[in-house]
Amino acid sequence: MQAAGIARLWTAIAVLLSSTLLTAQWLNYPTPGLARTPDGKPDLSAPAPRGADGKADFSGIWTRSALAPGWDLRTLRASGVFTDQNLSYHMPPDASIPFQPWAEALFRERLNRNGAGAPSERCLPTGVPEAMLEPPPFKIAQMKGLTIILFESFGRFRQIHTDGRPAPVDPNPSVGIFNRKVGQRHLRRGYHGIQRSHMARQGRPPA
Amino acid sequence: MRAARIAHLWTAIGVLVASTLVSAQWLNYPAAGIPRLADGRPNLSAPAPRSPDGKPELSGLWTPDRPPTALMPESLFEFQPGDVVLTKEGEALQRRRRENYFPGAQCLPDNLPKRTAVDPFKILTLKGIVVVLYEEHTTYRQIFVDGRELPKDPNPTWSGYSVGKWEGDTLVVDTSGFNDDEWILPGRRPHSNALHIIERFRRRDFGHLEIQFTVDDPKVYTKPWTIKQAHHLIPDTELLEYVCNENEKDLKHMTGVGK
Repeated sequence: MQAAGIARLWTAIAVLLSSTLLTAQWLNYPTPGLARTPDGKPDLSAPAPRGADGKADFSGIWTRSALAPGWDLRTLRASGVFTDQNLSYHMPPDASIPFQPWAEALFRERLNRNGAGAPSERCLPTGVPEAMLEPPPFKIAQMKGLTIILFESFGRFRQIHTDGRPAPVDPNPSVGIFNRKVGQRHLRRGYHGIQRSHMARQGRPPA
Repeated sequence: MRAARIAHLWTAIGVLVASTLVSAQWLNYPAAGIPRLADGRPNLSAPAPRSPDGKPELSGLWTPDRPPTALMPESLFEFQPGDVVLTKEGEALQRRRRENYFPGAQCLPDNLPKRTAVDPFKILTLKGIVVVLYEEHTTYRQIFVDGRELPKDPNPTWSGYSVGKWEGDTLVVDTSGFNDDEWILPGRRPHSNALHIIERFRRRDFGHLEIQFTVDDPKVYTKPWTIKQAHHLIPDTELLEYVCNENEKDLKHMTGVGK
């Protein structure tokens, strides 16, 4: 009996040690500069921080709220909806989307096949805003003239230029222009600056 | 004749308009804060800028000096092949890997030295973090310079976990916690999960950045070895999107995925 007790003690010690190792990982590293309540918990209701220029500072690691108010995941699941990444569930329930007829037809068609054929099946990246509706979190880092979003999903990033530059006039240049201007750099196809991917799961086609 | 001349004039106007459109693209957008010569060209030999804490500012869009035209991966890297000595375990691993294993063919990520060997990359410095945005695979990496230690028992990853600290004007970055699924180029050299990479970033002047990689993997190599890369700033342009799986038609023709 005593031997069994000692074995249990060692197990307890091993469990304690392994939990110490876990806390040494960055998954639990305390974020500096976070507003905290007296008990040390993050105070998510504290005022939003501001940058030196007085603008709101969006920097931080974010994850989506489950659904917009008025939607209920259980009701959705009961009606056969398999995902909550559809844009609609992040909009008020009475909102409607002013589709062009061709776009609505495409949307219905995608809906009817339950999203089969989505780009993500081929490990192609999610677009905007789907990348922010996925369960994995994303990090916003705000700098002078540039805000970046680092997505956990696909390990991809996005740059938002806030230095006053105009949007590109012709963001899908021909091979000739690329070759002449940038030599060996890769040519990638775009469509009005946005890939022809689904905007969100079961999604709406970009214009 | 006159009509032909007018046609020429219209052609000339068309070309002018088209070139204006091209210059409005971000591939050619003038970057702010770049020292320039009297004729407006960027002065890449100006002194390296410094951040408010006095350290060199590594931020910028960089590209390797060696042109990405070489078909032989070895020629992309400055290293001494004689310094690379495999252990017995390393030899066996390299034999297996060279037979039939190429993660890049499946659009899996490249090792750290390769990521900066061909395509441009952007360094951004934030308080406590240096972020590297790689054009290759449109992926990123975070280097923590806030004094934290490397994780003791990390979940293995393709990019590892990186912490940095300044030694004089050099940013020294220690990275570990890799999986063992990757090669180290040059030469499809394998590594294990014991791999440590020490990078030394030095911005020589405004337009030149050197990175020295020390590869330390005692399971695979008998001693650490180094790779050097020289990069220059590319002003007035931007990173492009890179989606490896786009229009993918090769996978079904591939045979074997052995390691």
